[in-house]
Amino acid sequence: MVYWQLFLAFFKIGLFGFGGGYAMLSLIQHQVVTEHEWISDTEFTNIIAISQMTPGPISINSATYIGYTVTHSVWGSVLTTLGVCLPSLIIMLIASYFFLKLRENIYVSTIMRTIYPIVIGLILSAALQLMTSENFIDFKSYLIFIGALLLLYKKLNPILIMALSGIIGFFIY
Amino acid sequence: MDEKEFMDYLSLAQASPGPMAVNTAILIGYRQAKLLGGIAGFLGSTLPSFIILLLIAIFFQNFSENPHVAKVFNGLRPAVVALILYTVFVFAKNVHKWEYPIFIAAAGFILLGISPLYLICIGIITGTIYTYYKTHKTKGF
Repeated sequence: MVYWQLFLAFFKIGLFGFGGGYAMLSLIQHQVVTEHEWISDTEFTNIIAISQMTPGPISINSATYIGYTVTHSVWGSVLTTLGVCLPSLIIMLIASYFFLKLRENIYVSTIMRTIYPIVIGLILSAALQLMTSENFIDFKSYLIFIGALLLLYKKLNPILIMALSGIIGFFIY
Repeated sequence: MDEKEFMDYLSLAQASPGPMAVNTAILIGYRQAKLLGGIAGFLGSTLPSFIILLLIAIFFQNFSENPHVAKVFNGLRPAVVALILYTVFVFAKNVHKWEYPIFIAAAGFILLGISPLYLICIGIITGTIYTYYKTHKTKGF
């Protein structure tokens, strides 16, 4: 049953989603594109673009969007969003209850530091897996890619860069 | 709450899995009004995103085939890949040089089809053993 599978996939993503939105992208990609093949790499990239340009956490944005796209039903969205956030709710309520003890816990900070390189690896793999011929149609795509990297390096607002590349895409394709 | 307390909440929210904004909202909600406050923080931080993205998803179903929209997304996709790759460069500045092979190997494993969930589990287990060893070693002296 696809609804149960969606909920479970996003629950796993929420439970192991250390290191912020971009690290979670790799988990989402692995569950939704590689393992269950609910959407294609191209659709996934489109969804990240939309999630990036809308307010709110990228993991919730993409969960809601993917839930609807896969099932064509509001309930799909409800389940994916709930799935990705439920681990947060459970863990944070438990942490709140024991907060004073946890605050001084050296384990939390050291473990976070240990998995940090792995988190970077997850993000790198997400980027590499999205370098497909559907995302890079021709040499113009590479020019946009290099241009975006340079503007990011120049500390230009990412949302502005996205808007710019969308407009450029409209005119050159 | 004062700034120090807020920073404590923030660092806990960041160290925990899941969206950081949601984690922070649940912690603050619980502090103000216990369980109901936590649930209110949870709903308040997730519902706006949920509603906006649901509406976009419903409307976009009809527009995704539109050739003009497709052109815009042809331009957007390379920029998205650039954005993700740039995050790697930013994050890599926070780790030692000797840790570079770890993240390159992790990316390689995922590209070979190994689930990122396993890699995170390995990281947590390694971190736990390392911390245990470190704390008990210092206690011995």
